[in-house]
Amino acid sequence: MDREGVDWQMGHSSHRSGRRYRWVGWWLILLAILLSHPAHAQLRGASPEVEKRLLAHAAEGYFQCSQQRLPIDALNDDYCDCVDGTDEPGTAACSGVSPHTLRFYCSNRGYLPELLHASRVNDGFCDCCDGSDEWQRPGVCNDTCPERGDALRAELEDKVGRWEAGRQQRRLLEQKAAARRQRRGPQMVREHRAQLHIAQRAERRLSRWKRRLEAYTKLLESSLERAELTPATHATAGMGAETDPLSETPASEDEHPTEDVPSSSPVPDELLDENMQNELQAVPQPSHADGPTATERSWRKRHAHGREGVASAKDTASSSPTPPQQLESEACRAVTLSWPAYVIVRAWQRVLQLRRRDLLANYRILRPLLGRVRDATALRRDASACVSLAASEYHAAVRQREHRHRELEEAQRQQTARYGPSDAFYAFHDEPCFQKQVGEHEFEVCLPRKVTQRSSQGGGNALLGHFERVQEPDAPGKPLRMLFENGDRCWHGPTRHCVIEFTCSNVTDILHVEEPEKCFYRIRMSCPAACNEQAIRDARETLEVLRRSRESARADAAAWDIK
Amino acid sequence: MGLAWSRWVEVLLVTALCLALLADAAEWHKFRKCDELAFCERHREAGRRAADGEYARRRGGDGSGSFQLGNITRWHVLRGAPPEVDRDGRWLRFVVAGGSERASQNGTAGSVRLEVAVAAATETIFAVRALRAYSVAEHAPRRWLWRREAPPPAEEDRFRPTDDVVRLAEPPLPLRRRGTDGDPACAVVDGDAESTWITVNDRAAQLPSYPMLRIQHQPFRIELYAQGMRVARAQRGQLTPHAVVNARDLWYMHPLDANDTASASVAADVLFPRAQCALGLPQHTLNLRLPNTHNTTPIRLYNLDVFEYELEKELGLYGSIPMVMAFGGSNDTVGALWMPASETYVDVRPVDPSGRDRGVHVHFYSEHGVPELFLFAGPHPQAVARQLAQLTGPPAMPPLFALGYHQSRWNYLDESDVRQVNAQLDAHDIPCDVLWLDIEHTDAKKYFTWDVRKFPHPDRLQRELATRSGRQLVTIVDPHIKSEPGYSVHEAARRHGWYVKQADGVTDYDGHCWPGRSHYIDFADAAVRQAWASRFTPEHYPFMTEHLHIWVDMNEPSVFSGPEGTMPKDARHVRGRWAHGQLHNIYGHYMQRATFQGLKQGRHGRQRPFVLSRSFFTGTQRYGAVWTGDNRADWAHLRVTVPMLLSMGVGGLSFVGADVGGFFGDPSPELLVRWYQVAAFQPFFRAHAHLDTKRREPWLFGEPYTAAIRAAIEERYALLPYWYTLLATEGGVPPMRPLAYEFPDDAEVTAAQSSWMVGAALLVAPVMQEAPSLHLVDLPGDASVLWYALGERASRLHAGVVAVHRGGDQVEYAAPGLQQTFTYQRGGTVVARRERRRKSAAAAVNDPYTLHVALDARGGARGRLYIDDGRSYAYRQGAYWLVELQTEAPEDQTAAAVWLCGRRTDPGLVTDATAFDGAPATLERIVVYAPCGQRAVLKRPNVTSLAQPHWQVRVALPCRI
Repeated sequence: MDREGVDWQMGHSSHRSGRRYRWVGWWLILLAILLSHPAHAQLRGASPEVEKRLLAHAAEGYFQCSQQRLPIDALNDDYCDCVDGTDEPGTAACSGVSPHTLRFYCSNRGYLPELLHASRVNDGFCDCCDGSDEWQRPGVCNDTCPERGDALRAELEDKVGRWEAGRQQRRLLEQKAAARRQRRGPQMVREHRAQLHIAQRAERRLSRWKRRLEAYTKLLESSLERAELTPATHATAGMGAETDPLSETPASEDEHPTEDVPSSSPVPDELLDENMQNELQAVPQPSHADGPTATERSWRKRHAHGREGVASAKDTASSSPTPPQQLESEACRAVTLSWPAYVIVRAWQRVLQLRRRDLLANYRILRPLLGRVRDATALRRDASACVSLAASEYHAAVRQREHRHRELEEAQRQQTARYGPSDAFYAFHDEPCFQKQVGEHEFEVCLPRKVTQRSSQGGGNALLGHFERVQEPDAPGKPLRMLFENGDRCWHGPTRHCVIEFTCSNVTDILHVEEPEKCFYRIRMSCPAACNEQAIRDARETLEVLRRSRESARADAAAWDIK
Repeated sequence: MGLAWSRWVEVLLVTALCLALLADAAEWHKFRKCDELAFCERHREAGRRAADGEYARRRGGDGSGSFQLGNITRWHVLRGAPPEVDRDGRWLRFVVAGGSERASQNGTAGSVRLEVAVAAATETIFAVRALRAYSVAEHAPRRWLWRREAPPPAEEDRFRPTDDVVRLAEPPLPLRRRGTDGDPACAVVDGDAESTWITVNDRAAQLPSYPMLRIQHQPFRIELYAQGMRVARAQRGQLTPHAVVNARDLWYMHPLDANDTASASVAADVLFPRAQCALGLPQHTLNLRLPNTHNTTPIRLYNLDVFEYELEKELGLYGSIPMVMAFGGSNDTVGALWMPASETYVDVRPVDPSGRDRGVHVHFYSEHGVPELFLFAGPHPQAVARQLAQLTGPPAMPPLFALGYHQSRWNYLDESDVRQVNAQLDAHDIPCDVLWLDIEHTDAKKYFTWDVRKFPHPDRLQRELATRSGRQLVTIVDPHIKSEPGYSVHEAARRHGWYVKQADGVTDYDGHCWPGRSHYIDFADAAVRQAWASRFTPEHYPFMTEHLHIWVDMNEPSVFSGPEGTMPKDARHVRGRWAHGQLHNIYGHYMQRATFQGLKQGRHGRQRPFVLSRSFFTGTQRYGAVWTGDNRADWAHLRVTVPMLLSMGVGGLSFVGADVGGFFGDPSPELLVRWYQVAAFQPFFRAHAHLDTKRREPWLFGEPYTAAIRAAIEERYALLPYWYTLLATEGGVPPMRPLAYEFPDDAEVTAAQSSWMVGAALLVAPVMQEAPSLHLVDLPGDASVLWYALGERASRLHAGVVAVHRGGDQVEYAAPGLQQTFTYQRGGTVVARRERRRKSAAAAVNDPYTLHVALDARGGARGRLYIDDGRSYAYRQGAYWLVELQTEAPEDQTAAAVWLCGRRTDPGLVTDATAFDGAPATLERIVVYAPCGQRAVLKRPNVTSLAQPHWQVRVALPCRI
């Protein structure tokens, strides 16, 4: 570059460089260095690359912009000559003319160089910290670059320290996550699958039990009708001679026995007994098998909360004494009835608030009582209560199975989902949730599962969303985001959703929560899992640029002092 | 459990209330109709009959057959009582007598006397006022029909807003009877047994308006509201149950004040025999050309908070101006302004429904007030607009920043959110001048306070915005004051009695609004207005700096718990003096006025205040901007902004706008872009959105949307000098105006509302439909008018080809692109622009101007440019530049060139070329559009400052004129 000395703004022509004027040239160089603030950029507002491009043909007296070839005087002459607005890097003349309009380059010595929109040049507001964008009014803007540079350096150094620590922790998290993926993950899937199997079995059994009871009740109904017509039959055990629904195999369940089809033989006692026992124990058993899981507990809680009937029935079932061990075949009818009737009596007892020990809890007390049940109305009532109980048990089991199914799916999803660039967030599955109180709400982030909001004034929890995916930064400097979707529906609005923006740090914490639009939450968190090498490298590079910029600023200042 | 239940009940109730308020409030059936109001129905019926009679007479019959006036008194000049001129020569008084047809059958005709006064306010503005009505019942036989009813209230018991609304600069002219030759103004009162007419002025000898005044002071029916649940109708003293109120009626159910019977109602019929159609009567969502209401419902003027309003309904909206422009082309356009501020209905009816014959009948009727009518003699639409501004005051000159782009949302959450928005605007290089804070910025909706958790240092924020970007902040203040002990405004108001009172005149009225139970400031009381004005100082409004401006909302007033969502008519104002129903429509106007005064005082008159109001009344233009309230994000609401704003312009409001993007709902990106393109050419340009909507700041939709929105905003900023000049120099003619204001004799465009003019120079015909396959633009004027299509911005700065069209052309554009806008500059105009993008208006003050000269067929063009400091009142002392720009043909007629001359016509008080912020008003380039379809550009003309007393530049053209 043989044109360093030329300050284009000052309109000095650069073509004359005869030996005679060389000393003038040198003075000009010196003057230009002193006057043009960005020492290396002689073309005002042009970054080194742009300058190089625009001045490529300066010797021939023209420059190239889009399809035009314009005289070099048109550069930075405060008039937009180029159709694409690329002839005015140092003025605002092309501001807004085209998307290609050149940006103004501030060298910002002591701080970082910056590219401004052309609209910022000479607009009366100081935008560059060195004030070079307001060159028409020198002295209006103070040079704040050194202070800003110092502040930025301190900040960056602090950050880099924390990021380094965060990166270490991220490695630990990654290891933890990998380990969990290998062991805990598949194990959980297996466990959930086993649970699902149990629930499915329970559901099948209950379904069978329910259908049998329904069939039995139907039978009972018809028997009672007959008994009412002929009271004598009722007194005898004639009803027992009818088809016993419990003896049916599942395959034949659909054929409803009618009173016209007499059964040849009653059911063997053992079979009945076993059937009964299986039915009764199928429901409560699984939850006790390996201790109730959290979901199990919540499931129960939900049911206890929402469906009292079911809960009491479950209670009844699980705390009931063993069902009849010895059943006389001649009392088959009564015994068959005794189970539902017993349940009903228990239910009545609850209703009447009797004390437990008065509850005929002992089957031995119950049996004679049931044996004496002769009242057809009571019988009918018992039977229908029994059927509805069976139905509700069955539905509870269906729900349980569905729930297990969802859990399994969730476990499988967790197993396949990626939690962040290196899966580090996966490790948080075993970590406790993070809380933050904001105003009257407490926000709880359970990484990486869900986000909830709790009102401290009562009003219940609101789910802000389930984990959806991790969105990696699409541009440098953008945060890593974790999206949560399908939260609880807002009143009069959409479902709640949430985004967490992570910044790298050595601690995991909620920094800020806001609701920028209704039912959409933005949470800023710090977390080691968001740390990445590139950011640290960039920060170090920035520090290096800053250091060099600071040094050159110091050298400048020293030069001024000499002058 | 009990607690839980009560909570549930509470929640349910609140839900139901909110549902009623939010979802269904705009439903048409929720609001009162004319036929549910005794006075309205009665006047309407009378008006129809009168009009019928008029038409019958005009058709050549004698009219007597159909001229059934029924119970309405029709006036005629009393024989033997010649009009008198009063002492100071201002008013011409005369007495007319009237009686009903029925009365005349009974021999009682003429048993009622009415004193009418007519005055010429200026040569072209006339006031007609009924002074006193009295019956001469002592001469009447005993069979006088309605003698048992209460007499109408005396004039001193009628609220008269005239003195507050009318701001005539010059003293009224003396008025004489005709016959005194040489009088500049005279009025002829003439009449026969049937009617009275007043013809004003010599000019107005052709003035096609003759008002018939009608005062209805003998009610035959009143409505009683018994037990709050039943409506009964008293007819001749007999009380008969009328209807059982159903649930919806509860919305507006309120017992009427005993004093406010229909006997106070007043009406005026005005026939405009030469009018083609009527415009005006803001605020409504009807077409610009008012519909025939004969078979529908009258247009209601009653200020109500009707959010998500329905379109094309005669529904009362946020503001009222009973101003009708009877449009009759360039020579026959006149106007009528009705004064009462109570609930008003207006019937508009063309004399000939088929539209062949000219003539429009307009019937104003109000529940209360002094019957007072101002007539504007026109005869050009712009003359009517100027006369209205002359009467009710010119529009407030807004500070320059207010004409820029406003970025608002309910709500920017906290200081960091505001900073974020500000930073994003800068990062995306989107110009913006004002950021807004809605109600959530306050501490529990207590206005004049800040929620310190979200806004710990609002003063710092304001200074930061102002010093880094030249941006301003606007906060909201509503008229309802939270009833909370310890809240300073509430305490002061209670102590000093600033609140509106209940019907008893003593107890403070309270109603529900945003903060819950609230009281309402009594802005009708001048002393209270003064007190309110004194609150706008940092002492009373913490953290207020000179960069803070005010937005007054909910000032209809909106009362969630009140009838029709507003204040009951029997609330009392001014220490119990006036019932609210008498002055309802002017309440919001008073609030804006008090706030405007407050900002002016608080800044010691140095700074022009900016106050935005939702409610308005006649004369509101003097106090700032108005917007169209809570609209919705759909295409129909985008389209309706045009007739709404044009109608508001007819009512005298210059600085008006609509929420960009629509307040409720989420606009599609395309709708949002189109909305920006439309609103960039409407005076008040603010994007605003409801709390429940998704964020929609311009940069959130990515390309190409952000670029298109930026381009629209940029075009607005480029035209700021033009907008500013229009507001400063047009004398009250609104900058956004119907095509009919510029081309009154082009019958094709009288009703146009898909395009409009910005000043005289620019025609705006934007796309207001979703992805149209075809966009049609009808160019107004005759074939001698040239229209230059302003193309893409970048190309405009360089020489090239330009599309020229002629008036009357219809131009078709197939599938216009998202960035494509349709603006045309009219041949014969000069528009000053600033073509450099800046981050705010303040950042552009040093920028040079570009003059866009569009030549007419003979090479002529004129325009003007107004410059002042953009913020103070110094312009009133003459501290401004007004440059008249004009082309002159070159000496050599054959040369392909044109001279552009500039001449300063201001008082010349500012001679220092850098008086305004050091801005020398330099000229960057001149772009000339020539009729041959070429655009010539003169780079950096040899003019050191536009503000030189005289300069001229020769621009070479590529072709001869």
